[in-house]
Amino acid sequence: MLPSLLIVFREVFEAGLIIGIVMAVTSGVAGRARWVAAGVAAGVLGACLVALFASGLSQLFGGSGQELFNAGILGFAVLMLGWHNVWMSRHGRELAADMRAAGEAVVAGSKSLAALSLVVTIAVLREGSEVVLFLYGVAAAEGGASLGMLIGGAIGLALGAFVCLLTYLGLITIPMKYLFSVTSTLIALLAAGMAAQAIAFLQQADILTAFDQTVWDTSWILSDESFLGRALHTLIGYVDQPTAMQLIVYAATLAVIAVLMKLVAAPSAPRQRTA
Amino acid sequence: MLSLSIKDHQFEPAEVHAPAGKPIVFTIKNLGSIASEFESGALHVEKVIPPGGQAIVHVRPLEPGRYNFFDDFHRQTQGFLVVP
Repeated sequence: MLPSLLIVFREVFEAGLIIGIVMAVTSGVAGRARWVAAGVAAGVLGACLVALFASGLSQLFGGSGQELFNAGILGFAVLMLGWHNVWMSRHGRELAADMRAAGEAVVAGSKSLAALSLVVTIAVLREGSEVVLFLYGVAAAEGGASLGMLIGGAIGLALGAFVCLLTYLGLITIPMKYLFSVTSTLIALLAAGMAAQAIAFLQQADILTAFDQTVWDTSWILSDESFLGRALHTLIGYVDQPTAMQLIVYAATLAVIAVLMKLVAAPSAPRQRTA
Repeated sequence: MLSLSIKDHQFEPAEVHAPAGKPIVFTIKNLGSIASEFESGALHVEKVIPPGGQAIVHVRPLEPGRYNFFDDFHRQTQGFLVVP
């Protein structure tokens, strides 16, 4: 029971942090619950498919199928997060100013929701496929799903969902005035962390070999494997032994998102809107 | 090419050796009935291996040292790569 609880909690916790942020980012946007729920449902379905085809997947591309798949979906999530931030830098104020009834904003708003919904799908798919593979193995080893495994899994799921709720509730206590800057920063860091993680997969697949030396080792202060290390890994991409390429890509992702946000930001942003 | 297998939550062999300054390729067979996740922060690897499956993992050239790897699904499953 305990191993199931721990593994399920750990994976749901990681996905839950991301879902909590997405819920906070989209708070006040009409129809967001449906989008997030759809994202979770698609992620669960995807996780089962990935787990089912895990063997086949890892044999693709000379044994690097799993790495390429992970790098690919992470890269896609980075694009979605970046696009969301850039879009929000232009339209965020309109949404915050309660203009979400305006037709155009609603249509564009749902596009941005769709992007974040896909990010939720990817987070659930990645963490969920590990849960499915693990629990399936436990069930196979025990000759069927045991009560202990189901109870452990259920408690792990409940605890993970609780973390998701805490993240959301914590973020929405931030005053509206600052919420946009805080969530934009969180989303940008999330994107940069995912980009660096995608790089790690490409390095592991031997596709990317440039700048692959380890730059520093902070595992003695905060290990990747510790609870806090894992949380920070999910949130801001903390790695205790990053390679040079990971750091370059991390910084570049942040820079590109920041520059694009500045470039597309509504020109009249600081002044009173006339519309 | 370093060959490892995982069975009964043990790496076999639990310690492998490789020369410094050369790319390393691990082949890991999961002979157990439960999925494993071959992982190491120091080696920058993280790979799920389904039961009965096999994984190829590339590691970049290393400095001399003793590097830990483990099964992230079963933390008691630990092994070392020694680079003299």
